[in-house]
Amino acid sequence: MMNSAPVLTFTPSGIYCPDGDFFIDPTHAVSRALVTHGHSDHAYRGHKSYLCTDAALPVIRHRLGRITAEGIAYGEPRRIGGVTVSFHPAGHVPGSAQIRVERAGEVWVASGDYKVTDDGLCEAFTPVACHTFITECTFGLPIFRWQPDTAVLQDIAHWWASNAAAGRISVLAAYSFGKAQRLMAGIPPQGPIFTHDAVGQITDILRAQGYALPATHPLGLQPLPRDALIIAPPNVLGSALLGTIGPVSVGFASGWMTLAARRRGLDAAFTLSDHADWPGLNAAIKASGATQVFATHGYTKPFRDWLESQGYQAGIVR
Amino acid sequence: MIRFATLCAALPHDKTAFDTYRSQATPDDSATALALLTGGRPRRIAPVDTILHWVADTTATPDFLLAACMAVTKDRAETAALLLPPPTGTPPTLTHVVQTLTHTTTPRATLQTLWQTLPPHARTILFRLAAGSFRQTLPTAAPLTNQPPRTVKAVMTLVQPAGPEITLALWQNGQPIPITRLTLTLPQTPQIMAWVRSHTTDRFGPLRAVPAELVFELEYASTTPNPRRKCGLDLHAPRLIRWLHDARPDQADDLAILHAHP
Repeated sequence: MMNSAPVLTFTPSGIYCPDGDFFIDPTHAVSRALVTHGHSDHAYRGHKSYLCTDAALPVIRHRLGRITAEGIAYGEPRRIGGVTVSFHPAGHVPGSAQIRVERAGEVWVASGDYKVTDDGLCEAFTPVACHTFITECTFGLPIFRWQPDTAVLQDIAHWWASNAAAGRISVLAAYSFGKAQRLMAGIPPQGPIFTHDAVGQITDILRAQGYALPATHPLGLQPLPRDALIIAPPNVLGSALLGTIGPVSVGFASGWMTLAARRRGLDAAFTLSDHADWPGLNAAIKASGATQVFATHGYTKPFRDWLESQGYQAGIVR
Repeated sequence: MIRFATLCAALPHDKTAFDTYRSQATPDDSATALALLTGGRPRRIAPVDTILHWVADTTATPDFLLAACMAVTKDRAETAALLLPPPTGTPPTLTHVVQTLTHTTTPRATLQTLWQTLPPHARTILFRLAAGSFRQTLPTAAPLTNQPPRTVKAVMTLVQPAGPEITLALWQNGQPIPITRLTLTLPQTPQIMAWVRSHTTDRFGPLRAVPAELVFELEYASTTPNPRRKCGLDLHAPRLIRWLHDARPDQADDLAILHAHP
């Protein structure tokens, strides 16, 4: 007989599983947290215990310091209370996972953040069949449609090469975990790559885990060659660093660069996202086979309305 | 067209963007680009609201999603550009786009043929051109062109005392052919207006016709062909330099000079 209570509920601390007494990506301190990936809006400090993929654990430990944490392999089932959980590749950043929760044959999946295209660096997204899918919708509007990676990476290489030819150092702003490494692994090389400290630390950790990353050099006191590419977190755009290294061209790689308003003031902008675009979100939802979908993280209201118009039972994670 | 859209994006911060564009574009496209950047516009074929409606219709985008998208971009041309699926086919040249927009009798079908081949940033510019809302004005563009303004001597044929605004003309087969209207902002304006009052030959509403006797020097950035005008072209970024009070009317230039120096 089916239990009529929902497998996952939405609380002020985050997504909660009453039958397993755990939270998924909780925002407040809890006793047991299942964490989809190491970005700071998903892996918060202060929980008594953490469970994440083996691949996500080193970065989470690096960011959160001394924590009680356990890694689990992708696809490995784990019984917690009255439910069985497993972690499945979300294709967002190295180690990222969708979390599957099954109770007596009823399956819910919390997507975390995801993208459906294979970026060649992190574990590629795999659809997980479920009855209820909790989906992010960071880019859940039809104005967000990504170009193929190869085209964007070629554009970046071209920008880098023309900067080098003009005697300008290329400074590429990108989130320090995930996007930065995807860039260094994917841009056809035009010269040496230097990393800002925040990027360098994560890069070293992922390289030690076995992710295929090219050689990079820490930014130091040495003069930089003109064909250098510096990969740095976005907050350096407003910092003194840029004034100290000579002529530069500043680019930014992010899904938000789709919008003209976000490109203003940058020398170069590249639309490259670690989140699913509009077609990607719709494809992932369809592939899950879910009939009930909850939207979180993004344009939840119009996205919920859209899903409803497409025949889903749709709601918003509150 | 794609290069022109890239130029438009680079212009506000890259002083070499126009030179880069010119080194890559055909002479025709360079001339068209210069004309657009100095205020030239193709004919407006549809309001931007209509274009957005066409795109929403083509993409089957419901109104509530359109509203949510508009809330993010706050720009109808950009919303329309981003809603469309990825481009396919060979993109047109800038000159082809401008000429096609100017001559079309089937705006929606024409625009659809053009938008299908262009990436979003170029579609945004396409929609601004089609809607007559393209603005990339002389103050930005002029210092970038490294091209000295051209000058021409023209005769005054009509005056609108409110302003005052004067119509300037060049000669063609002994007839003065209007090329542009400009505000009269010279030190001798009172003197010129006194002459106008005593020489008015006819009135058309607010306009006074005067004999084609006074000669003015003006400068301009560029011209583009416009078959719908009697003079056959649009003059971009015209500016009144001086009244040549010693010049005889026959010393004003022939219209052919504009066609020879676009």
